[in-house]
Amino acid sequence: MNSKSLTELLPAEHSGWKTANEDNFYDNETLYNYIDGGAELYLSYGFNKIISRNYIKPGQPEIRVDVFDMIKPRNAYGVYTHSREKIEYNFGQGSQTLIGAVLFWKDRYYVSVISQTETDEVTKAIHGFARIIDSSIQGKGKIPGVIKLLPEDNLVAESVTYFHHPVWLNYFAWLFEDNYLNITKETRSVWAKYETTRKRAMLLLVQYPDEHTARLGYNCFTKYFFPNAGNEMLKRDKNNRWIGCRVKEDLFAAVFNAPVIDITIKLLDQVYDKSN
Amino acid sequence: MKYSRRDWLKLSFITSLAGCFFLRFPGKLFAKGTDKSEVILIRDKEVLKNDGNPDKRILSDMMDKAITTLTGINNSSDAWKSIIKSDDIVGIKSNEWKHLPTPEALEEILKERVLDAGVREQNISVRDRGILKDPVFQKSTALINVRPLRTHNWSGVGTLIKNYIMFTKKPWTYHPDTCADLAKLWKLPEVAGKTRLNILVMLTPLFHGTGPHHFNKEFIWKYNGLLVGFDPVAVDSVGVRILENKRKEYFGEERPLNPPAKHILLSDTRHKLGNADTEKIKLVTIGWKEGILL
Repeated sequence: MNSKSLTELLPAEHSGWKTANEDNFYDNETLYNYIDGGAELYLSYGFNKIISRNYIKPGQPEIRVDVFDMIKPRNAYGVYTHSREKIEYNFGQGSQTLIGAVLFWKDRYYVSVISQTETDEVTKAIHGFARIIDSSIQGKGKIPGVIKLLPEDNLVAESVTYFHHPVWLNYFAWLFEDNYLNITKETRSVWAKYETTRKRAMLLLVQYPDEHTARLGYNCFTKYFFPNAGNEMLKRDKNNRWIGCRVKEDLFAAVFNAPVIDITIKLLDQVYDKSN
Repeated sequence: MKYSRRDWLKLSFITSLAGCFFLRFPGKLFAKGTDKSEVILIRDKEVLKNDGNPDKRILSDMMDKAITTLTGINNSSDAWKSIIKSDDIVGIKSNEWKHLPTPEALEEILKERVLDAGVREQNISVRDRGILKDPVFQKSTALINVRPLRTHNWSGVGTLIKNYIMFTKKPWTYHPDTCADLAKLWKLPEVAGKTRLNILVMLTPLFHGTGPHHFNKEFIWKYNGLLVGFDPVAVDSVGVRILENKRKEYFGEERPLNPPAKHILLSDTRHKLGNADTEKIKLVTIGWKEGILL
Protein backbone atom coordinates (compact mmCIF):
# COMPACT_ATOMS: atom_id res chain seq x y z
CA MET A 1 0.00 0.00 0.00
CA ASN A 2 1.48 3.35 -1.00
CA SER A 3 0.99 6.69 0.70
CA LYS A 4 -1.64 7.77 -1.80
CA SER A 5 -3.77 4.74 -1.06
CA LEU A 6 -3.58 5.39 2.68
CA THR A 7 -4.63 8.98 2.05
CA GLU A 8 -7.70 7.77 0.22
CA LEU A 9 -8.94 6.04 3.37
CA LEU A 10 -9.39 9.38 5.13
CA PRO A 11 -12.06 12.02 4.52
CA ALA A 12 -11.00 15.60 3.79
CA GLU A 13 -13.49 16.81 6.37
CA HIS A 14 -16.33 15.70 8.60
CA SER A 15 -18.90 17.65 10.65
CA GLY A 16 -16.90 20.84 10.26
CA TRP A 17 -13.54 19.34 11.18
CA LYS A 18 -11.13 19.95 8.32
CA THR A 19 -7.66 18.70 7.55
CA ALA A 20 -5.29 20.89 9.56
CA ASN A 21 -2.06 20.53 7.67
CA GLU A 22 -0.13 18.15 5.48
CA ASP A 23 -0.40 14.48 6.26
CA ASN A 24 2.50 12.84 8.01
CA PHE A 25 3.77 9.44 6.97
CA TYR A 26 6.11 7.20 8.91
CA ASP A 27 7.64 3.85 8.09
CA ASN A 28 9.51 1.34 10.20
CA GLU A 29 12.62 3.54 10.13
CA THR A 30 10.87 6.71 11.22
CA LEU A 31 8.02 5.51 13.44
CA TYR A 32 10.20 6.29 16.48
CA ASN A 33 10.06 9.95 15.54
CA TYR A 34 6.30 9.89 15.80
CA ILE A 35 5.55 7.63 18.75
CA ASP A 36 8.87 7.61 20.53
CA GLY A 37 8.80 4.79 23.02
CA GLY A 38 5.73 3.24 21.49
CA ALA A 39 7.04 2.18 18.11
CA GLU A 40 8.38 -1.19 19.22
CA LEU A 41 4.91 -2.59 19.85
CA TYR A 42 3.87 -2.00 16.24
CA LEU A 43 7.20 -3.16 14.88
CA SER A 44 6.86 -6.35 16.90
CA TYR A 45 3.68 -7.19 15.04
CA GLY A 46 4.92 -6.22 11.59
CA PHE A 47 4.36 -2.75 10.32
CA ASN A 48 4.66 -1.04 6.96
CA LYS A 49 3.49 2.55 7.13
CA ILE A 50 1.26 4.94 9.02
CA ILE A 51 -0.63 8.02 7.95
CA SER A 52 -1.29 10.58 10.64
CA ARG A 53 -3.68 13.45 10.04
CA ASN A 54 -4.99 16.18 12.35
CA TYR A 55 -8.42 17.70 11.90
CA ILE A 56 -9.40 21.09 13.29
CA LYS A 57 -12.61 23.02 13.78
CA PRO A 58 -12.84 26.54 15.22
CA GLY A 59 -13.65 26.48 18.93
CA GLN A 60 -13.26 22.71 19.14
CA PRO A 61 -10.40 20.44 20.16
CA GLU A 62 -8.23 18.82 17.53
CA ILE A 63 -8.95 15.28 16.37
CA ARG A 64 -6.08 13.07 15.34
CA VAL A 65 -6.47 10.08 13.04
CA ASP A 66 -3.76 7.44 12.64
CA VAL A 67 -4.11 4.56 10.21
CA PHE A 68 -1.47 1.85 10.50
CA ASP A 69 -0.89 -0.37 7.50
CA MET A 70 0.18 -3.55 9.28
CA ILE A 71 0.94 -5.47 6.07
CA LYS A 72 -1.27 -8.44 6.96
CA PRO A 73 -4.65 -8.74 8.69
CA ARG A 74 -3.21 -11.00 11.38
CA ASN A 75 -0.80 -8.20 12.40
CA ALA A 76 -3.60 -5.66 12.63
CA TYR A 77 -5.71 -8.14 14.57
CA GLY A 78 -2.79 -8.83 16.91
CA VAL A 79 -2.16 -5.18 17.72
CA TYR A 80 -5.86 -4.74 18.36
CA THR A 81 -6.06 -7.73 20.70
CA HIS A 82 -2.96 -6.52 22.50
CA SER A 83 -4.76 -3.75 24.35
CA ARG A 84 -8.50 -4.34 24.14
CA GLU A 85 -10.36 -4.54 27.40
CA LYS A 86 -13.77 -5.62 26.17
CA ILE A 87 -15.42 -7.22 23.17
CA GLU A 88 -16.95 -4.58 20.99
CA TYR A 89 -17.84 -4.54 17.29
CA ASN A 90 -19.00 -0.95 16.79
CA PHE A 91 -16.37 -0.29 14.14
CA GLY A 92 -14.37 -2.47 11.77
CA GLN A 93 -13.83 -6.09 12.76
CA GLY A 94 -13.40 -5.27 16.42
CA SER A 95 -13.18 -1.99 18.28
CA GLN A 96 -12.49 -0.33 21.57
CA THR A 97 -14.19 2.89 22.62
CA LEU A 98 -12.62 4.94 25.39
CA ILE A 99 -12.85 8.52 26.63
CA GLY A 100 -12.15 10.60 23.51
CA ALA A 101 -10.95 7.63 21.50
CA VAL A 102 -12.00 4.92 19.09
CA LEU A 103 -9.57 2.15 18.17
CA PHE A 104 -10.41 -0.59 15.68
CA TRP A 105 -8.97 -3.03 13.20
CA LYS A 106 -10.14 -4.01 9.76
CA ASP A 107 -8.38 -5.96 7.04
CA ARG A 108 -4.69 -5.03 7.33
CA TYR A 109 -5.30 -1.74 9.13
CA TYR A 110 -5.28 -0.64 12.73
CA VAL A 111 -7.05 2.68 13.19
CA SER A 112 -6.94 5.20 16.01
CA VAL A 113 -9.17 8.28 16.22
CA ILE A 114 -8.53 10.40 19.29
CA SER A 115 -8.95 13.79 20.88
CA GLN A 116 -7.40 14.91 24.14
CA THR A 117 -10.58 16.72 25.16
CA GLU A 118 -13.95 15.05 25.03
CA THR A 119 -17.21 16.91 24.50
CA ASP A 120 -20.46 15.52 23.10
CA GLU A 121 -19.65 17.14 19.78
CA VAL A 122 -16.14 15.68 19.71
CA THR A 123 -17.44 12.23 20.60
CA LYS A 124 -19.93 12.35 17.73
CA ALA A 125 -17.21 13.52 15.36
CA ILE A 126 -14.76 10.82 16.48
CA HIS A 127 -17.40 8.16 15.91
CA GLY A 128 -18.23 9.74 12.54
CA PHE A 129 -14.60 9.65 11.42
CA ALA A 130 -14.34 6.03 12.55
CA ARG A 131 -17.44 5.08 10.56
CA ILE A 132 -16.16 6.81 7.41
CA ILE A 133 -12.77 5.11 7.61
CA ASP A 134 -14.44 1.78 8.38
CA SER A 135 -16.50 2.15 5.17
CA SER A 136 -13.44 3.20 3.16
CA ILE A 137 -11.63 -0.03 3.98
CA GLN A 138 -13.21 -2.42 1.54
CA GLY A 139 -11.60 -5.70 2.54
CA LYS A 140 -12.05 -7.91 5.55
CA GLY A 141 -9.21 -9.70 7.30
CA LYS A 142 -9.11 -13.33 8.23
CA ILE A 143 -8.61 -14.07 11.91
CA PRO A 144 -5.61 -16.40 12.43
CA GLY A 145 -6.58 -20.05 12.48
CA VAL A 146 -4.95 -20.70 15.85
CA ILE A 147 -7.66 -18.56 17.49
CA LYS A 148 -10.26 -21.10 16.44
CA LEU A 149 -8.45 -23.77 18.44
CA LEU A 150 -9.23 -22.05 21.72
CA PRO A 151 -11.83 -23.97 23.74
CA GLU A 152 -14.95 -21.86 24.11
CA ASP A 153 -16.18 -23.00 27.53
CA ASN A 154 -15.30 -20.43 30.20
CA LEU A 155 -13.14 -18.46 27.76
CA VAL A 156 -12.62 -14.83 28.82
CA ALA A 157 -13.14 -13.53 25.30
CA GLU A 158 -11.49 -10.14 25.78
CA SER A 159 -8.33 -11.81 27.06
CA VAL A 160 -7.57 -13.49 23.72
CA THR A 161 -4.27 -12.00 22.56
CA TYR A 162 -2.59 -12.99 19.32
CA PHE A 163 1.15 -12.50 18.78
CA HIS A 164 4.23 -13.67 16.91
CA HIS A 165 7.03 -11.94 18.77
CA PRO A 166 8.74 -13.58 21.79
CA VAL A 167 8.33 -10.50 23.96
CA TRP A 168 4.65 -11.26 24.30
CA LEU A 169 5.31 -14.65 25.83
CA ASN A 170 5.27 -12.55 29.00
CA TYR A 171 1.96 -10.94 28.15
CA PHE A 172 -0.01 -12.25 31.14
CA ALA A 173 2.81 -12.88 33.55
CA TRP A 174 6.56 -12.90 33.77
CA LEU A 175 6.97 -16.52 32.73
CA PHE A 176 9.82 -16.61 30.29
CA GLU A 177 13.33 -15.32 30.80
CA ASP A 178 14.17 -16.32 27.27
CA ASN A 179 12.46 -17.34 24.05
CA TYR A 180 12.23 -20.98 25.10
CA LEU A 181 9.44 -21.64 22.61
CA ASN A 182 11.32 -20.20 19.67
CA ILE A 183 8.58 -17.77 18.76
CA THR A 184 9.29 -16.20 15.38
CA LYS A 185 7.41 -14.39 12.64
CA GLU A 186 6.53 -17.83 11.31
CA THR A 187 4.73 -18.98 14.46
CA ARG A 188 1.11 -18.15 15.27
CA SER A 189 0.58 -17.78 19.00
CA VAL A 190 -2.26 -16.87 21.28
CA TRP A 191 -2.79 -16.30 24.97
CA ALA A 192 -6.22 -16.65 26.57
CA LYS A 193 -7.65 -16.72 30.07
CA TYR A 194 -10.31 -19.08 31.38
CA GLU A 195 -12.68 -18.57 34.26
CA THR A 196 -12.33 -21.08 37.05
CA THR A 197 -13.83 -21.20 40.49
CA ARG A 198 -10.76 -19.37 41.72
CA LYS A 199 -8.16 -17.38 39.79
CA ARG A 200 -8.21 -17.52 36.03
CA ALA A 201 -6.23 -20.19 34.23
CA MET A 202 -4.07 -19.16 31.28
CA LEU A 203 -3.75 -21.07 28.04
CA LEU A 204 -0.95 -20.59 25.53
CA LEU A 205 -1.14 -22.04 22.03
CA VAL A 206 1.72 -21.92 19.55
CA GLN A 207 1.23 -23.13 16.01
CA TYR A 208 4.56 -23.81 14.31
CA PRO A 209 5.31 -24.01 10.58
CA ASP A 210 5.88 -27.77 10.93
CA GLU A 211 5.94 -30.67 13.35
CA HIS A 212 9.73 -30.68 13.71
CA THR A 213 9.87 -27.05 14.86
CA ALA A 214 6.98 -27.67 17.24
CA ARG A 215 8.85 -30.57 18.80
CA LEU A 216 11.97 -28.41 19.23
CA GLY A 217 9.92 -25.74 20.98
CA TYR A 218 8.29 -28.33 23.21
CA ASN A 219 11.64 -29.87 24.14
CA CYS A 220 13.11 -26.51 25.04
CA PHE A 221 10.03 -25.56 27.07
CA THR A 222 9.95 -28.81 29.02
CA LYS A 223 13.66 -28.61 29.71
CA TYR A 224 13.12 -25.39 31.62
CA PHE A 225 9.68 -25.89 33.06
CA PHE A 226 9.85 -29.63 33.77
CA PRO A 227 13.55 -30.34 34.32
CA ASN A 228 12.94 -33.43 36.40
CA ALA A 229 9.82 -34.77 34.78
CA GLY A 230 9.44 -38.05 32.99
CA ASN A 231 6.69 -38.25 30.42
CA GLU A 232 4.08 -36.53 32.53
CA MET A 233 4.18 -32.85 31.78
CA LEU A 234 1.95 -31.77 34.62
CA LYS A 235 3.07 -30.27 37.89
CA ARG A 236 2.30 -27.72 40.56
CA ASP A 237 4.21 -24.47 40.52
CA LYS A 238 5.50 -22.63 43.56
CA ASN A 239 2.13 -20.93 43.93
CA ASN A 240 0.49 -24.35 44.10
CA ARG A 241 -1.16 -23.94 40.72
CA TRP A 242 -0.98 -26.39 37.90
CA ILE A 243 1.15 -26.16 34.80
CA GLY A 244 0.78 -28.61 31.95
CA CYS A 245 1.83 -28.81 28.35
CA ARG A 246 1.49 -31.00 25.30
CA VAL A 247 2.58 -31.07 21.68
CA LYS A 248 0.96 -32.77 18.74
CA GLU A 249 1.96 -32.31 15.14
CA ASP A 250 2.58 -28.57 14.66
CA LEU A 251 0.66 -27.40 17.73
CA PHE A 252 2.09 -26.74 21.19
CA ALA A 253 -0.24 -25.99 24.10
CA ALA A 254 0.47 -25.06 27.71
CA VAL A 255 -1.77 -24.26 30.65
CA PHE A 256 -0.64 -22.12 33.56
CA ASN A 257 -2.21 -21.02 36.81
CA ALA A 258 -4.92 -23.67 36.85
CA PRO A 259 -6.30 -24.24 40.38
CA VAL A 260 -6.77 -28.00 39.87
CA ILE A 261 -5.18 -30.58 37.63
CA ASP A 262 -8.52 -31.46 36.00
CA ILE A 263 -8.80 -28.02 34.45
CA THR A 264 -5.30 -28.31 33.03
CA ILE A 265 -6.03 -31.66 31.43
CA LYS A 266 -9.47 -30.64 30.21
CA LEU A 267 -8.17 -27.51 28.49
CA LEU A 268 -5.39 -29.45 26.77
CA ASP A 269 -7.83 -32.17 25.70
CA GLN A 270 -10.25 -29.62 24.30
CA VAL A 271 -7.53 -27.91 22.28
CA TYR A 272 -6.45 -31.13 20.61
CA ASP A 273 -10.03 -32.25 20.07
CA LYS A 274 -10.60 -29.05 18.14
CA SER A 275 -7.40 -29.43 16.16
CA ASN A 276 -8.40 -32.88 14.90
CA MET B 1 28.35 -5.41 32.42
CA LYS B 2 27.80 -9.07 31.64
CA TYR B 3 24.92 -10.96 33.11
CA SER B 4 26.66 -13.18 35.61
CA ARG B 5 25.79 -16.82 35.91
CA ARG B 6 24.80 -16.21 39.51
CA ASP B 7 22.36 -13.49 38.52
CA TRP B 8 21.00 -15.59 35.73
CA LEU B 9 20.46 -18.48 38.06
CA LYS B 10 18.62 -16.28 40.50
CA LEU B 11 16.28 -15.08 37.82
CA SER B 12 15.90 -18.44 36.21
CA PHE B 13 15.12 -19.95 39.54
CA ILE B 14 12.41 -17.49 40.35
CA THR B 15 10.98 -17.47 36.89
CA SER B 16 11.35 -20.64 34.98
CA LEU B 17 13.37 -23.45 36.44
CA ALA B 18 11.24 -23.73 39.51
CA GLY B 19 8.14 -23.30 37.44
CA CYS B 20 7.22 -20.35 39.60
CA PHE B 21 6.27 -17.20 37.81
CA PHE B 22 5.60 -13.63 38.66
CA LEU B 23 1.98 -12.72 38.45
CA ARG B 24 3.13 -9.39 39.73
CA PHE B 25 6.34 -7.44 39.99
CA PRO B 26 8.37 -9.46 42.48
CA GLY B 27 8.56 -7.73 45.84
CA LYS B 28 11.10 -9.99 47.41
CA LEU B 29 14.31 -10.96 45.73
CA PHE B 30 17.41 -12.20 47.38
CA ALA B 31 19.35 -10.55 50.17
CA LYS B 32 22.29 -8.56 48.87
CA GLY B 33 24.34 -6.63 51.39
CA THR B 34 22.80 -5.01 54.41
CA ASP B 35 22.10 -1.41 53.46
CA LYS B 36 18.49 -0.45 53.06
CA SER B 37 17.44 2.22 50.63
CA GLU B 38 15.12 4.82 52.09
CA VAL B 39 12.16 5.92 50.01
CA ILE B 40 9.82 8.72 51.04
CA LEU B 41 6.22 8.62 49.87
CA ILE B 42 4.45 11.87 50.55
CA ARG B 43 0.82 12.53 49.60
CA ASP B 44 -1.52 15.46 50.05
CA LYS B 45 -5.24 15.23 49.36
CA GLU B 46 -5.38 18.89 48.30
CA VAL B 47 -2.35 19.11 46.05
CA LEU B 48 -4.29 18.99 42.79
CA LYS B 49 -6.41 21.98 41.87
CA ASN B 50 -9.74 21.76 40.04
CA ASP B 51 -7.98 22.20 36.71
CA GLY B 52 -5.83 19.16 37.44
CA ASN B 53 -2.62 21.13 37.90
CA PRO B 54 -0.76 21.01 41.21
CA ASP B 55 -1.00 23.79 43.76
CA LYS B 56 2.58 25.04 43.87
CA ARG B 57 2.47 26.03 47.54
CA ILE B 58 1.30 22.58 48.62
CA LEU B 59 3.69 20.84 46.25
CA SER B 60 6.53 22.93 47.60
CA ASP B 61 5.61 21.94 51.14
CA MET B 62 5.49 18.28 50.12
CA MET B 63 8.94 18.53 48.55
CA ASP B 64 10.35 20.19 51.68
CA LYS B 65 8.91 17.52 53.96
CA ALA B 66 10.28 14.80 51.70
CA ILE B 67 13.82 16.18 51.57
CA THR B 68 14.01 16.88 55.30
CA THR B 69 12.77 13.38 56.10
CA LEU B 70 15.14 11.79 53.60
CA THR B 71 18.21 13.66 54.80
CA GLY B 72 17.25 13.74 58.48
CA ILE B 73 17.95 17.50 58.49
CA ASN B 74 15.08 19.52 59.93
CA ASN B 75 15.51 22.64 57.85
CA SER B 76 14.71 22.32 54.15
CA SER B 77 17.35 24.81 53.05
CA ASP B 78 20.04 22.99 55.01
CA ALA B 79 18.76 19.68 53.70
CA TRP B 80 19.22 20.86 50.12
CA LYS B 81 22.67 22.25 50.94
CA SER B 82 23.61 18.79 52.18
CA ILE B 83 23.11 17.36 48.70
CA ILE B 84 23.86 20.34 46.43
CA LYS B 85 26.94 22.56 46.85
CA SER B 86 27.06 26.18 45.72
CA ASP B 87 29.74 25.43 43.14
CA ASP B 88 27.79 22.56 41.59
CA ILE B 89 26.60 22.74 38.00
CA VAL B 90 23.15 21.23 38.16
CA GLY B 91 21.14 19.49 35.46
CA ILE B 92 17.53 18.86 36.44
CA LYS B 93 16.54 16.00 34.17
CA SER B 94 12.87 16.43 33.58
CA ASN B 95 10.43 14.64 31.27
CA GLU B 96 8.37 16.34 28.61
CA TRP B 97 6.15 13.49 27.38
CA LYS B 98 3.24 15.58 26.20
CA HIS B 99 0.48 13.55 27.80
CA LEU B 100 2.05 13.43 31.24
CA PRO B 101 5.06 15.73 31.62
CA THR B 102 6.91 16.65 34.78
CA PRO B 103 4.73 19.43 36.23
CA GLU B 104 6.14 22.86 35.54
CA ALA B 105 5.47 23.85 39.14
CA LEU B 106 7.72 21.07 40.37
CA GLU B 107 10.48 22.05 37.94
CA GLU B 108 10.26 25.60 39.29
CA ILE B 109 10.37 24.40 42.91
CA LEU B 110 13.46 22.29 42.28
CA LYS B 111 15.20 25.15 40.52
CA GLU B 112 14.34 27.49 43.40
CA ARG B 113 15.75 25.04 45.93
CA VAL B 114 18.96 24.66 43.95
CA LEU B 115 19.25 28.46 43.72
CA ASP B 116 18.67 28.64 47.47
CA ALA B 117 21.54 26.23 47.92
CA GLY B 118 23.74 28.92 46.39
CA VAL B 119 24.08 27.64 42.84
CA ARG B 120 24.26 30.42 40.24
CA GLU B 121 21.35 30.55 37.82
CA GLN B 122 23.56 30.09 34.76
CA ASN B 123 24.73 26.83 36.31
CA ILE B 124 21.24 25.32 36.42
CA SER B 125 19.32 23.81 33.54
CA VAL B 126 15.93 22.09 33.54
CA ARG B 127 15.57 19.96 30.45
CA ASP B 128 14.59 16.64 28.87
CA ARG B 129 15.35 16.45 25.16
CA GLY B 130 18.55 18.01 23.93
CA ILE B 131 20.52 17.56 27.15
CA LEU B 132 23.56 16.30 25.26
CA LYS B 133 23.85 19.71 23.60
CA ASP B 134 22.95 21.68 26.70
CA PRO B 135 26.08 23.42 28.08
CA VAL B 136 24.96 23.02 31.69
CA PHE B 137 24.28 19.32 31.31
CA GLN B 138 27.56 18.94 29.43
CA LYS B 139 29.47 20.40 32.37
CA SER B 140 27.16 19.16 35.10
CA THR B 141 28.56 18.00 38.40
CA ALA B 142 25.15 17.15 39.86
CA LEU B 143 21.89 15.78 38.49
CA ILE B 144 18.37 15.79 39.87
CA ASN B 145 16.16 13.21 38.23
CA VAL B 146 12.44 13.96 38.12
CA ARG B 147 9.60 12.45 36.10
CA PRO B 148 6.07 11.09 36.36
CA LEU B 149 5.46 7.36 36.54
CA ARG B 150 3.60 5.79 33.65
CA THR B 151 3.15 2.50 31.92
CA HIS B 152 5.14 1.98 28.74
CA ASN B 153 4.35 -0.48 25.97
CA TRP B 154 7.92 -1.73 25.55
CA SER B 155 9.76 -1.30 28.86
CA GLY B 156 6.63 -2.01 30.92
CA VAL B 157 6.93 1.25 32.76
CA GLY B 158 8.55 4.65 32.31
CA THR B 159 10.80 5.02 35.32
CA LEU B 160 13.53 7.11 36.88
CA ILE B 161 16.02 4.57 35.59
CA LYS B 162 14.66 5.04 32.09
CA ASN B 163 14.54 8.84 32.35
CA TYR B 164 18.26 9.01 31.53
CA ILE B 165 17.66 7.60 28.02
CA MET B 166 18.29 11.11 26.65
CA PHE B 167 21.92 10.82 27.73
CA THR B 168 22.58 8.52 24.79
CA LYS B 169 22.62 9.38 21.11
CA LYS B 170 21.41 5.87 20.33
CA PRO B 171 18.39 5.16 22.53
CA TRP B 172 17.33 2.24 20.35
CA THR B 173 20.43 0.33 21.42
CA TYR B 174 18.76 0.01 24.83
CA HIS B 175 15.57 -1.52 23.41
CA PRO B 176 16.51 -5.23 23.25
CA ASP B 177 14.75 -7.57 25.64
CA THR B 178 12.19 -4.89 26.50
CA CYS B 179 14.84 -2.42 27.64
CA ALA B 180 16.26 -4.89 30.16
CA ASP B 181 19.59 -3.10 30.53
CA LEU B 182 18.56 0.51 30.95
CA ALA B 183 20.70 0.66 34.08
CA LYS B 184 23.73 0.84 31.80
CA LEU B 185 22.72 4.43 31.11
CA TRP B 186 23.72 5.24 34.65
CA LYS B 187 27.29 4.23 33.91
CA LEU B 188 27.70 6.67 31.04
CA PRO B 189 30.33 9.33 31.83
CA GLU B 190 27.70 12.08 31.55
CA VAL B 191 25.74 10.41 34.35
CA ALA B 192 27.91 8.19 36.53
CA GLY B 193 27.97 9.23 40.15
CA LYS B 194 26.25 12.57 39.61
CA THR B 195 22.66 11.94 40.69
CA ARG B 196 21.86 13.64 43.97
CA LEU B 197 18.12 13.08 44.14
CA ASN B 198 15.38 11.10 42.42
CA ILE B 199 11.77 12.22 42.41
CA LEU B 200 9.08 10.04 40.91
CA VAL B 201 5.98 12.12 40.36
CA MET B 202 2.90 10.22 41.49
CA LEU B 203 0.33 12.99 41.23
CA THR B 204 -1.66 11.37 38.40
CA PRO B 205 0.18 8.22 37.33
CA LEU B 206 -0.78 6.36 34.17
CA PHE B 207 -1.56 2.75 35.10
CA HIS B 208 -2.50 1.39 31.69
CA GLY B 209 -1.97 2.41 28.09
CA THR B 210 -3.76 1.72 24.88
CA GLY B 211 -3.60 2.90 21.28
CA PRO B 212 -0.60 4.35 19.47
CA HIS B 213 -0.17 7.23 21.88
CA HIS B 214 -0.47 4.99 24.94
CA PHE B 215 -2.52 7.53 26.81
CA ASN B 216 -6.12 7.89 27.81
CA LYS B 217 -7.54 9.87 30.71
CA GLU B 218 -9.48 6.77 31.71
CA PHE B 219 -6.22 5.25 32.91
CA ILE B 220 -4.85 7.97 35.16
CA TRP B 221 -5.96 8.61 38.70
CA LYS B 222 -5.37 11.19 41.39
CA TYR B 223 -2.82 9.59 43.67
CA ASN B 224 -1.54 13.01 44.79
CA GLY B 225 1.92 11.80 45.71
CA LEU B 226 5.66 12.10 45.26
CA LEU B 227 8.17 9.31 45.76
CA VAL B 228 11.59 10.63 46.70
CA GLY B 229 14.88 8.88 47.34
CA PHE B 230 18.56 8.59 46.64
CA ASP B 231 18.23 5.11 45.13
CA PRO B 232 16.37 5.24 41.78
CA VAL B 233 15.81 1.49 41.71
CA ALA B 234 14.16 1.50 45.14
CA VAL B 235 11.97 4.48 44.23
CA ASP B 236 10.93 2.86 40.95
CA SER B 237 10.29 -0.44 42.68
CA VAL B 238 7.86 1.18 45.12
CA GLY B 239 6.21 3.06 42.24
CA VAL B 240 5.63 -0.14 40.31
CA ARG B 241 4.02 -1.79 43.34
CA ILE B 242 1.56 1.08 43.52
CA LEU B 243 0.82 0.81 39.78
CA GLU B 244 0.26 -2.92 39.97
CA ASN B 245 -2.04 -2.54 42.96
CA LYS B 246 -3.99 0.08 41.05
CA ARG B 247 -4.25 -2.24 38.05
CA LYS B 248 -5.57 -5.00 40.29
CA GLU B 249 -8.12 -2.63 41.79
CA TYR B 250 -9.24 -1.33 38.38
CA PHE B 251 -9.32 -4.58 36.43
CA GLY B 252 -10.55 -6.72 39.30
CA GLU B 253 -7.79 -9.29 38.90
CA GLU B 254 -4.02 -9.53 38.93
CA ARG B 255 -2.91 -7.60 35.87
CA PRO B 256 0.89 -7.41 35.85
CA LEU B 257 2.65 -4.80 33.80
CA ASN B 258 2.85 -5.83 30.19
CA PRO B 259 5.62 -6.39 29.35
CA PRO B 260 7.10 -6.86 32.82
CA ALA B 261 9.35 -4.08 34.10
CA LYS B 262 12.44 -6.24 33.80
CA HIS B 263 14.77 -3.30 33.80
CA ILE B 264 13.98 -2.45 37.43
CA LEU B 265 14.73 -5.94 38.65
CA LEU B 266 17.86 -6.22 36.52
CA SER B 267 19.07 -2.81 37.67
CA ASP B 268 19.40 -4.54 41.02
CA THR B 269 20.41 -8.11 40.24
CA ARG B 270 22.46 -7.55 37.11
CA HIS B 271 23.74 -3.98 37.32
CA LYS B 272 23.83 -3.37 41.08
CA LEU B 273 22.45 0.13 40.65
CA GLY B 274 20.20 -0.10 43.68
CA ASN B 275 17.68 -2.17 45.59
CA ALA B 276 14.49 -3.46 44.00
CA ASP B 277 13.79 -5.88 46.81
CA THR B 278 11.17 -4.65 49.29
CA GLU B 279 13.18 -6.31 52.05
CA LYS B 280 15.92 -3.85 51.22
CA ILE B 281 13.75 -0.77 51.07
CA LYS B 282 12.78 1.37 54.04
CA LEU B 283 9.55 3.05 53.00
CA VAL B 284 8.48 6.13 54.95
CA THR B 285 4.97 7.37 54.27
CA ILE B 286 3.89 10.93 55.06
CA GLY B 287 0.51 12.59 54.71
CA TRP B 288 -2.71 11.36 53.13
CA LYS B 289 -3.17 7.61 53.62
CA GLU B 290 -6.49 6.89 51.90
CA GLY B 291 -6.04 4.80 48.76
CA ILE B 292 -2.31 4.48 49.37
CA LEU B 293 -2.26 1.09 47.56
CA LEU B 294 0.66 -0.27 49.55
